[in-house]
Amino acid sequence: MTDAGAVRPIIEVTDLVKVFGENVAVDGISFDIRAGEIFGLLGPNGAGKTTTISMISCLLSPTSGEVTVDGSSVTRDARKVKSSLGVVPQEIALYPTLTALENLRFWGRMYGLSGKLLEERVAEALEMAGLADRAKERVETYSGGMKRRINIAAGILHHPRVLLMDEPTVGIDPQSRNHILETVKELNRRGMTVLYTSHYMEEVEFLCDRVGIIDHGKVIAIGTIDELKRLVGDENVISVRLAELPDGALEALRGLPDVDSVTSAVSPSDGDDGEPDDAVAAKSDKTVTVEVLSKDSGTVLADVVGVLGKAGARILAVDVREPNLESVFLHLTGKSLRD
Amino acid sequence: MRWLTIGIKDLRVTVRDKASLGILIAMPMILIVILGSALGNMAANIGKLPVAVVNLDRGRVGAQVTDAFFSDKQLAELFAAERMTDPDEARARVARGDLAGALVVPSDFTRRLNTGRSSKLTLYSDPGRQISGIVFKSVTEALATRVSAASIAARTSAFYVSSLRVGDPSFVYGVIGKAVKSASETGALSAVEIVESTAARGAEISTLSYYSGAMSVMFLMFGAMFGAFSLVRERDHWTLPRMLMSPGSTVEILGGKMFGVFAIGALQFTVLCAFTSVLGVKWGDPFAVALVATATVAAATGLSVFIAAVAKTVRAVSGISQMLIQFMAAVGGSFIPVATFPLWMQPLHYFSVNGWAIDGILAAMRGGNAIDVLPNVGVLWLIALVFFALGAWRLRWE
Repeated sequence: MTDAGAVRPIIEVTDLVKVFGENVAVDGISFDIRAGEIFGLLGPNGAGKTTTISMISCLLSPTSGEVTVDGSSVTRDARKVKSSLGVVPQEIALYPTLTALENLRFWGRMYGLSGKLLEERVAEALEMAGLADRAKERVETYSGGMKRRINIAAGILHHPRVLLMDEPTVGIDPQSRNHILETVKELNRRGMTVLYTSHYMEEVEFLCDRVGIIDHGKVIAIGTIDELKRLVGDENVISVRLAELPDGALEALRGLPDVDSVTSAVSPSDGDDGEPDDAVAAKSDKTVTVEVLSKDSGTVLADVVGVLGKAGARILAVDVREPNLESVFLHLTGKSLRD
Repeated sequence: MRWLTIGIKDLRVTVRDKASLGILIAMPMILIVILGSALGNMAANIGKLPVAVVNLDRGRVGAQVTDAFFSDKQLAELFAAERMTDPDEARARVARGDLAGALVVPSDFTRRLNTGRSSKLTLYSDPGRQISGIVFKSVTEALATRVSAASIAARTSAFYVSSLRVGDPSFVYGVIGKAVKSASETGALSAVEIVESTAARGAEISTLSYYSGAMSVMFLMFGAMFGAFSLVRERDHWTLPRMLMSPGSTVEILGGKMFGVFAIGALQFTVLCAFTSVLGVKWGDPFAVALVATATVAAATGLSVFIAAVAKTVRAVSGISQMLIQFMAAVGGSFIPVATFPLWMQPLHYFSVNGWAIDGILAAMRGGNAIDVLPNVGVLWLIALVFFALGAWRLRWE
């Protein structure tokens, strides 16, 4: 981890705007990323994370505003910017009928590598992905997690100064997720600056030195995780897991005294993004997690359980916890990250 | 050399895809064999024969000969004749296979016949259309005989009426009849000689040869469709945006994609050419064939960029491509030879890549050289550039 205050920014985003037709995808955001840190961009789907990464990586031109990478403008010096960036897109951007080895050689060549250096870097990336022994198999035969690991390997072949990772763990098993998170830590230890976007607050909490919270195209908070948690003050989160969500239960909870906000989400299973729709939860076998934010969790807990019991809900588990990024997001927007 | 890396990658991806290989290589092979065997030698001998008449004679007799192709009901049903003024151009068009034959009436035709001298009609025919040539020649010979008889009759009657002052018409008609009969028996009716000249220089094009060219061209268009598929699929699967996020320029990336389509087309044509050569197809001058093939593949490549730009999804690529390929194959002669179309339809083949490409290949098969196929090659490259420019302009990258 770095001393954030002492290190110069390697990426500077200033008043960045991107408009598609009448849709403002990114609405005047500003932040900087310091050399050597892991910076998280946390926000729900559709918040503007991918559009922001696409502008930093020169894929999209900003409608207005400016982005510089190591002092070079993405609009005026795109080639230089691209050379210093590694990008891991959210999609698995690989050729399924080619082997992992062939894919990595191709992407290495696209970044100007060749000959012995290319072979060394490909071997190194395969080692890091833990797939050296399956390098000659077609990517289409891999599991989702293995594909994700090769997707990352393709982004680090040229040893970029900055690695942009857009939701790199979507839809994979816990084992592969852990492997990827450890890989990101290791790359950072080797000196690589990382911009990591996710809507999984656990990942961002685990990895990032600083976090920007983004919603509806705006950065609504930025700072270290401790700084962000302090925004919530002394509020705690009462988390109740239910077999199903009875009609009117949320409204009843919101009416309780000392309750600041209430959200619900279908509890995600492994490899599941989670589904925010209450109706979907009610019709499925999945459980529903209701989260209540309150400064007086001791008193409110009994009321919450009482209201839910009265509504006919079957309570599976109750938990009271300190604020986390989820509760920060809840506090700032009044909704869950998965809404 | 990113363009080369991209092109080689595309070639590798295509070769790994058995379904694509089946469509691009196996299908045309099967169709060439089936159509070439099933349709026999009918390809070049159906419908009205396209011929040209060039009348350089200012006299009455020349006009009578050439007018017969338009005014005589039977001849009009047999021939699709057109008037031309330049004998060299007529010969060139026969050489290119646009016409089955051409008749040239010399400038002194009437004058020579009127003064009792013989004259010559020049006939250009295409050895690649033997039956057409025989029909055209026999019709021309019949016309020449009619003209000779008329010439003798005119001179005979003029002699009796003006020199001997014979006023009885029945006497004159009797003498004319005897003169024509006598001329016929002694060969004097050959006052008009037919001079046959071979405009084309190659062998007859068999149906197998025809469909070797026609199907190869049609399936090169399928290669264009796969090229468009590849561009749109790479866009959807984020490999194209990922390339754009690498230091390569859009020119290098698009160049690489086009090189891939081009390389696949070149490989496809080479394999089909080799396969049909084993079956006995004579493609003609390798340089001329290579020029036409290269230009055709280029046109298909340009078309692939255009389709990728117009289509937003893989499904749309499929729909647009199928429509374009089938239209161009139908009007361009990939299914049935253009010469068999009704006259009003034949010019449509100029609106298709297939039409220009097949014309060029047939010219090479007939023995044409690189110069003979240059017009086709030029048009195909123009099509390639126009489609590419439109496609590159409208292409959505991400």
